[in-house]
Amino acid sequence: MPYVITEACINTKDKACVDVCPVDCIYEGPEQLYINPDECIDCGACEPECPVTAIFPEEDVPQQLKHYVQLNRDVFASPNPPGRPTR
Amino acid sequence: MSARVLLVSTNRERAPYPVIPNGLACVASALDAAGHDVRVLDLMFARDPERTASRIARELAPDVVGVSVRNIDNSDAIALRHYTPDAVATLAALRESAPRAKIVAGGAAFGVAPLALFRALGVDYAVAGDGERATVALVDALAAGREPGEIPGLVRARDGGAVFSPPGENADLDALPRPQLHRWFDLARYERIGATVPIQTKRGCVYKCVYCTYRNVEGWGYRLRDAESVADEIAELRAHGVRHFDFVDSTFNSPPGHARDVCAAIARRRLGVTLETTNFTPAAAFPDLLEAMRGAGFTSLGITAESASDVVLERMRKGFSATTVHRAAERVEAAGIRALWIFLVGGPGETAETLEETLRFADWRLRRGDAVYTTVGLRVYPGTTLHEIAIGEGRLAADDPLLDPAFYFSPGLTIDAAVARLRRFAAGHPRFMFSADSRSMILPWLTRAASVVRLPRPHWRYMGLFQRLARMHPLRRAGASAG
Repeated sequence: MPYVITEACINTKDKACVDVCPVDCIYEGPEQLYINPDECIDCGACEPECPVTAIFPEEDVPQQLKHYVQLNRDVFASPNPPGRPTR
Repeated sequence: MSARVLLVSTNRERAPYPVIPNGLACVASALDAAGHDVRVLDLMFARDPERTASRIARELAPDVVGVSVRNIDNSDAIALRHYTPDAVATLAALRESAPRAKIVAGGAAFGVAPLALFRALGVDYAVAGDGERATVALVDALAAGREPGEIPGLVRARDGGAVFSPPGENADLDALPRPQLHRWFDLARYERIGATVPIQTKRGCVYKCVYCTYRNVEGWGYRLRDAESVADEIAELRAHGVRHFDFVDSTFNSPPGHARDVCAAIARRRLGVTLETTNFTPAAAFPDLLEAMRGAGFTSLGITAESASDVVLERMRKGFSATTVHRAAERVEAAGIRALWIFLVGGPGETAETLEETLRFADWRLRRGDAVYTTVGLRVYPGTTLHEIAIGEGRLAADDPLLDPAFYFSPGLTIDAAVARLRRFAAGHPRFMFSADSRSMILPWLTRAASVVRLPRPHWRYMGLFQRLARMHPLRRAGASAG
């Protein structure tokens, strides 16, 4: 089960998670970061790095944030998918 | 108080290639930096290891003897070698020759089975996990005549049994002394027998491969060294004549950003070195990273794919698919870097069909100039997911300490059928290495000859020629007909 980035990342985009991702599967959108669910290897390295507790395993996403599971998936199929994070 | 410390490396294995004891060097440098009087004895080149150990121990009369045990066995179901008996014999010789010394054991093997190995070896103390801080704390206490107490990572006897204090928070690697391999070991002699000089850019692992012990030995997550410090270490060793280095991280290219930084730091120094790693994951084979690796001096990669079948990769929890393996092959070839593909046959989910998927991939890569190394059966280590799987399938008793090697082989394929198929495949593919062949008596000599005449590394690139020569050798032929 992949990890999912949720609401707390909006306008935070700390990117500490990007540094520890072993497969570079975290991408940057205009407002927040996203994990590509097809590339995530389910290692969990990003979760403890997030300073605002925005990252959850898919099965543990709080009920009120469940729509971020689909959002993390849909955004990569959109006409303007997120790109490599900037520094 | 300063102690006189004799550190002994017991590893004498030279197949598939000899390994320079980086962990022991880390501990030696840490003890030296803490003010202790350190002497290192490397038994790799000793004609009679027990006699050599006895002689040095008598001459030195150490306060503390530290013994490193790298592996319990060679994890090879076909050509098994068990190392603990040799370690027991060396320890007995040391105990007899240095009767007043405290005997401490450590090494990667203790991260796998700390309590069971402590009992089996009969030492006074053992250290599991990072060796530097725990060993210094222990030797400091012993030198001061104090009872060491609960040092994180220490195993000791108590109340007729053994107690293990789990490793605490792992050390910041940049705060530890560098191993300074050239101070402790004869690197030129190691290189002459085919060894490569190891460099660690990180410790720990985040992957969840079911069979692997890395997370138990080095911990979960990554502890990254500063890229400039890694380049400093390479520059220092380069000044001592070393030209070729092998990155021995759990996976060199994860996380890729750190690998890029390390490559950039090395490239900036213009050291004229060549580099390799045998721990490259297909999951992070990015073109820009491969370009950076090529620019830093990488000439070859060992790629730990383990299988090219989705079924097996999924069951082994490798974190990548067969498509990723194929894509990595194309990218590495496009980057102009030679690849040695490493496979494990017989993992969970393996069948005759999945084996054929892997062999089709191997055939493709061999025709493109790569090499392939394959072992059969997965060694089951305590504390791994594979251990739980084997217990769940009723193959192992839950209380088996696993010091006597146990192997997992998929119920979907017999080991005899797999070996027969691999032997047929090997017959038509000279650069296909089968672990049983690495035990051939002639192969280490051919590798050594390649080192002596300074053939460019990696030496596995000549494996096609080596295999043909080995198959012509009378000892190899005698072994083949007997087997």
